[in-house]
Amino acid sequence: MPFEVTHEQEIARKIAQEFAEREIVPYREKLREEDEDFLRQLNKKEAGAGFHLSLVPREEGGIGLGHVGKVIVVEELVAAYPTMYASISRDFAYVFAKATGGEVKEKWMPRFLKGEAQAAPFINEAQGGSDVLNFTTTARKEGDHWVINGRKCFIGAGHKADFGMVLAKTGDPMDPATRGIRSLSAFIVEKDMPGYKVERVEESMAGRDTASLRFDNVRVPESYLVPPGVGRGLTPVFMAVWDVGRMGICGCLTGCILGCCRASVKFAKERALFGKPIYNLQAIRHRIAEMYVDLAAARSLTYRGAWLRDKGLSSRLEQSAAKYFTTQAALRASLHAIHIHGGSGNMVEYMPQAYYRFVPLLIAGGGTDEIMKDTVGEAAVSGANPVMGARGAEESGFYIM
Amino acid sequence: MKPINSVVCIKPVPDQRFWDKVSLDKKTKTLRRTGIPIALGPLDKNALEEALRIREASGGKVTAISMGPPGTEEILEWAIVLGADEAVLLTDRAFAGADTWATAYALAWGIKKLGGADVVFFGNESLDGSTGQVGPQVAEFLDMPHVTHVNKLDLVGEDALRARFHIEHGFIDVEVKRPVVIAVEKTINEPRCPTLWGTIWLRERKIIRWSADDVGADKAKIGLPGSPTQVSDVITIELKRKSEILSGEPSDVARLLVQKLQADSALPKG
Repeated sequence: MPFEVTHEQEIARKIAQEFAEREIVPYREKLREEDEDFLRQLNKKEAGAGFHLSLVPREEGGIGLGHVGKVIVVEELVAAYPTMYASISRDFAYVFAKATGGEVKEKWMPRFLKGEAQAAPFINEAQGGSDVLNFTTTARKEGDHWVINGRKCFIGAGHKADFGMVLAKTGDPMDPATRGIRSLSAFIVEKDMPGYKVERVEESMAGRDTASLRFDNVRVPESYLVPPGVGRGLTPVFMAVWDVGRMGICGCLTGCILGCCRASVKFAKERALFGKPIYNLQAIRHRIAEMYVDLAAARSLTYRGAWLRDKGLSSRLEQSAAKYFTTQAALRASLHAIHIHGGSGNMVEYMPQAYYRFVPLLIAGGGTDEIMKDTVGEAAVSGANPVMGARGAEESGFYIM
Repeated sequence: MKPINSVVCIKPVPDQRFWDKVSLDKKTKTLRRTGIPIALGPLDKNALEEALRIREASGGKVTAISMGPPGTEEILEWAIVLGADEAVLLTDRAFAGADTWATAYALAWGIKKLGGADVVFFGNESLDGSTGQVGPQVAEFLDMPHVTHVNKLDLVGEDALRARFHIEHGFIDVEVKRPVVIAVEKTINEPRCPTLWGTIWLRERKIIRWSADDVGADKAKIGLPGSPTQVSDVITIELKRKSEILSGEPSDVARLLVQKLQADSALPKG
């Protein structure tokens, strides 16, 4: 079956766009100032609009628009204001509760469905995010509990998370019994648990969007160990990071490109130079054209990766390609937008600076360019080849051996 | 409370975001709409919102209806996304070229085919034609009372409505028995924001397509043959700006400016 965006998913875009025009665009100043009251209200409105349920199948109480519908919604919200990316925190709540099951699912799923639960993957440490064997956070068994100790940093929306999935060492990677990644396990940690602390809300040039977390003898029950269990922590963490984190971030970055396109076209029509709107200038038109080509390519890669997941197929390579491409394209688009806006592009009253400050926050989130290129490059030298036809999708996706 | 069934008559209009592309065709004496996306008229959204609020208060059903080519389905879909229970599209080549009278006739027959309604809602006037005629004309065809320029509506008892409508220097409150045609103004309510639940309604609810024969319309009374009015000409008003720089002492310049504006009738004399 060839890849396409369904009519329903396009209607979802229209809905998100109207929501953004009414509830986000007029209040950009409040978002920039991180007005807590406004953000709380906006969170409620987002939940009321059902945006957190787009990924959730209908039979589980969701709206069932799949991963494609999800990235389209995220794209439109982020196009209106970049920090709206935090809305993917709710998807983590769903994926974590579902992956863990039992007590955790019973507790968090109803809250998630009401839009009252946010979560984050507690993975990254000061040494990095991809070099997992060097992590220092540990979990040791004490009776029927696990005791977690360690620190995590650069956790997206970590300070707002009601709970998170923490990746911790439960063994020694050099020990044959727990060799390599078998030394890692995943646990659910809740914000009210004694010993868990948001150590610092980090301040980046994009705002206060990430946090450092500390775990001092945090005791979690056995039921909070994420299946498949001890020594199998990477699987649920990677599934969440790929399906929600990386794919969501591709949607966010595509949203930034879209936002840059919209802001630039609007400005180029309004701003007159030498007696004419500046869109008449070839130099401006070419920049706009480059942004639109990037937008089309970013959507193609992102939506196709999402579509493969909706078909139940792996899209690890597609997502890696999409993450690398959308990061680069969003960086280009935000710079084009600043050029088109001239002096105004740096002013807080105009949007280009907001995208320009925000996009770098997502360079590392969901995997750096280098890791993404390593993944694609490794597949390429093994004979992988981008195939866009139905056969490729049915067998193994964009890249087939 | 007795459930109230409402029908909301809606019209596709050029999307306001593309109004700079809209122009008048001197030859056909119509708006050039090619390539311009359509949207649900702004006052139609208020009409739909009022119907949805009544349904929430009293139960019943909300049906959106429109007449137009197959592309008109787009706005009916949007009415469902916003909460309408069902939608009807009157679509037939025989409906083409209709003026307000022939449009009202077709809509009235569509409403009759639906089994009538307790309240038929309209936006007070459309964004493009702005005649404000179709609502009252539908009321005549259906033999219902009508109230236009409504900006407040309350249910009264089992079979009436209290409507506040706008006149030049104030308002008039009237009580009117249902069934009734109500044409609303922008100030009556704040139309709701769509939610993603609308995509589920779109999956589950249907758009019915009816031809002129389906509604039993008399072919002589619809479309161009049924239209007593024809557009004889369209005139675009050219707005020209003139500029003049006044110089001198501020008080002299101010005096001179007032004199010039009075001479051009831009300010009252005296």
